Amino acid sequence: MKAYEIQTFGIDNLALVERDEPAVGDTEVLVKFHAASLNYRDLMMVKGTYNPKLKTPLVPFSDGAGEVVAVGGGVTKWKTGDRVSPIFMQGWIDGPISYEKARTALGGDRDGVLREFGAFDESGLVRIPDHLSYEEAATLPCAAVTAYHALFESGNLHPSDSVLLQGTGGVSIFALQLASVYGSRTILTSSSNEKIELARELGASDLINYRERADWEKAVQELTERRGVDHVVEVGGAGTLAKSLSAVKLGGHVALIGALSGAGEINPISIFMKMVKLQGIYVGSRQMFEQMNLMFCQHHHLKPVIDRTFGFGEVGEALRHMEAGAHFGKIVVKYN
Amino acid sequence: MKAYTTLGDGIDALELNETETPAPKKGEILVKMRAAALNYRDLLVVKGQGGWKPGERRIPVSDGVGEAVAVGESVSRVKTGDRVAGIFLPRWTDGELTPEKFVLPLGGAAADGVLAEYVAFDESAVVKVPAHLSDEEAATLPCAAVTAWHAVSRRSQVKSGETVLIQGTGGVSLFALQIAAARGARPIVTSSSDEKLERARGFGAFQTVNYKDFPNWDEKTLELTNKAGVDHVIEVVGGENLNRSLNAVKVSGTISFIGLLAGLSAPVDTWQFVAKNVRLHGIETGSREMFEELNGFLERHRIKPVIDRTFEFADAKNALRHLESGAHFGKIVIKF
Repeated sequence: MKAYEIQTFGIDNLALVERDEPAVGDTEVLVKFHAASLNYRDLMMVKGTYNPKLKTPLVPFSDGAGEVVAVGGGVTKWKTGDRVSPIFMQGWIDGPISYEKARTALGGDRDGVLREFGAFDESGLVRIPDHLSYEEAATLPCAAVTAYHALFESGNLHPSDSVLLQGTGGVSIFALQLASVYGSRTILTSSSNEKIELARELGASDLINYRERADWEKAVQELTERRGVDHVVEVGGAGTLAKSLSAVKLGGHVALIGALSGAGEINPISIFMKMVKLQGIYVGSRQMFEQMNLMFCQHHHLKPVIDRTFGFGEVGEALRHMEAGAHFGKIVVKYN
Repeated sequence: MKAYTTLGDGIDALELNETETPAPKKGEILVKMRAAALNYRDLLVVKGQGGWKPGERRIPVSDGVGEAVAVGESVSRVKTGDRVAGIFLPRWTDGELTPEKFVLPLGGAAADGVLAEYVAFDESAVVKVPAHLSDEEAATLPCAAVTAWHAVSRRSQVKSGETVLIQGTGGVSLFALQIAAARGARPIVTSSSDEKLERARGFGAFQTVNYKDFPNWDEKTLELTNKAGVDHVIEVVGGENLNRSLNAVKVSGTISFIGLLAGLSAPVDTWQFVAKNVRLHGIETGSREMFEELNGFLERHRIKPVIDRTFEFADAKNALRHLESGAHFGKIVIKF
């Protein structure tokens, strides 16, 4: 079978190789992938900036969708023909995360989905909602589950709450769709008026162009009668955390997400004087994925926003398209 | 009556004067104070640091207990003879903290405190104190003990068998130690003094770390927990110290942040929050309802606050100086 490998870092060094089709263990399922989607983490992984000590060769990308083509003798949950996606952390089925669960991430700790076939334990998969294509379903495992975890698990979002969303990356757009369909107020920042219009169509209640309003945290205060927002989905990390702490209300919730994080200036006074709840979010469990699928897909028939689809031979172009940062929505790779 | 007042110009400039005894207005009660207790924040007010500096002469100190000696018209919650303590934020009776409730803390820049022979309180802004506590003991509760209860029981929700890292032996830390130990948790206490650590063991510390001997106390904590990290951290320092707390806490652990001491903004490794799914709670004292819940807990477990030393009312300046010296273990009390 064909597979991509990170052997040495760099987009140009990504190698398309021939590998043996994986053998299927007793409780494993063989998945034939039809689509994958990109996250910023994948770009960093390929470039070596996510983990300079990454064990190579490694098949990159965490997010994929495909069909079951073979099952091991002990498999009870799946049958040939089922449409499935592997979960981001293969070992995080439910409950709180632990070191053991955290070290099972696809396209990082373990081989990812950028290959024709993959064998997964039957517990490490979720069923794809019927109304989604493989390309659409491939966008969900990392960014959409992260958005769900931030808003509903960590934030206990309420329809009367307001949510501040930063930019139009994968997590922010999924959070926009989830919060909007739930009836919550969504305030989104972007540097592009074109992206602002697209976000409005997806249900954003209020939009702030942060090129025009560098003090966007004040704009958020103005929009909320100077009380601040109930929730911030913080994806900018180091650069924006201080402003997010200004924009959030007394006793509010900041979900801290993202590979963009680094060292950030944290003013302890703003956290404890405002009684902020700051929660680090690293994707989510299979149980959260299943709940997200119910809400996002089966109850509301939402569809992920796809920016552009590339062929299996065009992975380098897809990564460069992500690097350029001009996309709105997910970047997908379709396997022939 | 006699009352101390400050302009935020230092301990020496504190004035003890004869002023008019307040008359309880409608809905108010008059309390004859019997004991007060000091918090680090009282020192900040008396020394006039930053936003703590009073704009006019103010009666300092937030924590005190006394006897209701007169009640105003339509008072129903309190009767003459009741032993009561004022709550730190007089308008925060219950529910979430809102901007409307987050005003006029006792003994702050904008409201008088309790270092006076008589104080008039709104009847809704006091609690009856536990019967098993002396006046001196009960006087220590409103700020530090309620903060510790809010952190340990409400936010971090410390359970039996869990490990809790408690930093230092200040007021909040000692209450957190006693509460966590009574909940069956395993407190790990840090201090720079072996003598204070030995005393902390007497109040339920399961393990101790001298951070003079182990400047990398986070690594030592990991060692004590078989590399798993602690379930909870009670962070009272802030600043760069937060990075060590992030290192010492387990994946999916909580940090309750009561960071008055370091005060300064510092670069914090936000990626640690994300990768470890850590939850950070800013804690700002607590409501009357939390105070009442705490009192029930103290009664059931027969917990008594740790008192370092008791000063006479006339000797209040020396009490503040003793606090400033930092040599105390337990609360500093002023007896009327």
